[in-house]
Amino acid sequence: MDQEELSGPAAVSDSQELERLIQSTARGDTAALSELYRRTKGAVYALALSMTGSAFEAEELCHDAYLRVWDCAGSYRPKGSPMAWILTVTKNLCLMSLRRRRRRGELSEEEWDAIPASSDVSAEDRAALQDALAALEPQSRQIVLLHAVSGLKHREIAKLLGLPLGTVLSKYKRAIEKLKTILEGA
Amino acid sequence: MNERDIEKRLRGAIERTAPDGSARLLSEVTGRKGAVKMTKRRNRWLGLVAAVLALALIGGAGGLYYRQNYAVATVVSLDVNPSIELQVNRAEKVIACSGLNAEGREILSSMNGGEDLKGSRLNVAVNAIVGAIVRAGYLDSLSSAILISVEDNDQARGERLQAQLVAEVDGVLKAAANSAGVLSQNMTADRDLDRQAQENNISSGKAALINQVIALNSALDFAALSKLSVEELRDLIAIGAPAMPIGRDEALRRAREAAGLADAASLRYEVDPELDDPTPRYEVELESAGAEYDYSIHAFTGEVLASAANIPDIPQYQNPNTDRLLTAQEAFNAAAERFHADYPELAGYNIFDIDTEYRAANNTYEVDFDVAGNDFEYIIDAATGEVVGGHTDYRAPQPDTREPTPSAPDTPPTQPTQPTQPVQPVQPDTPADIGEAAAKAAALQKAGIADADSVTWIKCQRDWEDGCYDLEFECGSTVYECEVRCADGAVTDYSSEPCDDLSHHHGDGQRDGGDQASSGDIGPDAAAQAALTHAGLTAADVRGLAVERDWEGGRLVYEVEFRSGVMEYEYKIDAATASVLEHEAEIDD
Repeated sequence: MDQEELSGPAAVSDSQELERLIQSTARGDTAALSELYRRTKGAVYALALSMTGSAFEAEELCHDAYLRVWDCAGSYRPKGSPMAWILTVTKNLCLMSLRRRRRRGELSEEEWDAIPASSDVSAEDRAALQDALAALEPQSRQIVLLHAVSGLKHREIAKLLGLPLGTVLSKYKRAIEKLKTILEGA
Repeated sequence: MNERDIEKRLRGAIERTAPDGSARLLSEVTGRKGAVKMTKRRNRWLGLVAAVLALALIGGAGGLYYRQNYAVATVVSLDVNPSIELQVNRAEKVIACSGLNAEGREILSSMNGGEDLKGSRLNVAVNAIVGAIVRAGYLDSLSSAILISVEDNDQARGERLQAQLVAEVDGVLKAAANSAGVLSQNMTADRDLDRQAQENNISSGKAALINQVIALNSALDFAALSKLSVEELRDLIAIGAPAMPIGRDEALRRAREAAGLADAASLRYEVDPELDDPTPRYEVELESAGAEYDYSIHAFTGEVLASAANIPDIPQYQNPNTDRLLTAQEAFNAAAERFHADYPELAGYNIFDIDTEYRAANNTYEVDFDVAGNDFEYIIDAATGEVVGGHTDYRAPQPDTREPTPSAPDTPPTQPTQPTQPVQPVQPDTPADIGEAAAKAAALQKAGIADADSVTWIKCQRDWEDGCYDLEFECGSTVYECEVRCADGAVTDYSSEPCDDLSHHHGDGQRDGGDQASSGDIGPDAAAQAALTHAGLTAADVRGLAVERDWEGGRLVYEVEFRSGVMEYEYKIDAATASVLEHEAEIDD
């Protein structure tokens, strides 16, 4: 099985098109921002979700991330990796939020309750995924979501999280095996 | 169910439940277009500025009052905590520029006390001043704000200048990737306001803001309020000004006292007011001798609400070839020194997200940080402080302007290089493709590896997004990453770093799985004991003991966590030798 094979939204997004949208956003084009949001929202939301473990907080951080993109689009330098830039902006906001929570003493034992109820997802499917993800330790869950939903390569995840590539790969493999066992037993 | 099925199911669930906030987003950015940029919480300020403006107009005048007999047509003040005033003539040239408080004078010290700005166009002078304020770090906090006040008896001209200056400041902040809020007001002259401003060495714009606070709570003292920053005053208005905040200086003093750093000679600190939070407070960060402390100080009572400390120790591991190890701070200093030498064009930017990690296997520190949205990584020899490797995705604006981070002569062949041209994305259907074999050959040539058989592991993956082959390979004790352009085989990115054992990259399932302690594995109990012994505790002294077995950087390790008293401990134990690789102890909030 080739673990580097991608199917996530970031992989299929066209970098040049995203760069064009960022440049238009920098000129104050709200339609471009809207399109940028539509194309990348899933990846950004998944990153925020994976880092905070809270659907509510992820929604707020997702919103703040696009406000930051709006404010700072003019300073973006095209380097062929617009998605990485947007995710870095998101990651930094998440880290700031986590630091604030930590200072306030709000970080309790990890409670994963991040897949909100939705009419688009059956209650059974939501519960199964919720339980399966909750069974993973936080960093493995983050790696799985970043790869499966945000569409990041393992190498990109290693860079984003500051982990050795081997650690990311081994954690990912073990997490997928664990998810498989749980979901097949569900 | 295979891996792809699981990924698909996860992706589907998350994407379908992700909320659609596009309407809210567009509504907010439309309100910010072309003028004051605020985050959502700053939007409350728009109403407050209007209130301040109304107050000033009702009062009738401002700092201009005492100057209208001269050639001064407009007085512009910039307030963060530095307060700076510019007097401008009808031709919109600066006649005088002065710092109204010590911080303002400090900002202007690099401009000959403001003398250098005389005769400049107003927008040029404002650009220079705001740039200096940003570089000095006064606007680093997300919630920080700058107030622009324009006093002009010609209301139309005042409004035009206000709009111009907001755009100018917005541009400076955007260029610096800074998200501080820009507040602005347009006033006409007011003798009383000007007197208050002069008596307290502040701008009349800030005086108007303070009067708004006093209108909410008449018990508060004008002079005391004048010491607060624009951000504090803004937040105070937002929460109804229930009491007088202790201020940044007092919050800092209390945090230093609590940390036992009252007399520390070398101290870096940052004080961030959060007066509009449910628990109004100052967040204080202290850094001294490599140790970091976070304190939450109640904004009105000065009580220490919460604290945390991260006091790194020199790792216990000792390389037999050396009798000295750098501290993490020293490693960072070495990396920062090289960074500043390599990239002088980034000297004006702050260094963020510093992460320094010690690698016992190689006796090196890996120092990562972010500057202006670019990642930088330096590998520092923990014995000598030499830079032995490095990597960045930063591309210089001009080609061939920098040398690559050189490797030390006695290290593996690390040759991180900077591409001389930005990578041009290649469309997925680009017909030219050198193929995997040629990409591998190009990568090995770049690494200086003549004998392909000496490569113990190689992975080559085509990246359709970038139009490049991504290669990772291992040779000897070095792991390499290389990016080769599909179209012409040019190496567009390259890095290498020393490693110990990366054999798990090969998909060695035996190592990735399995919970049984094997040969060379001390087992979880011995790992826990090693951590407890290091902490000077016994199992009876601790609670919440948790041990997790993991592979990291090719090494089997145990991560051990436990709590004792008010402390929380985290250890990383080498599963082969029981030596402590990393450890951290902090106050358990």
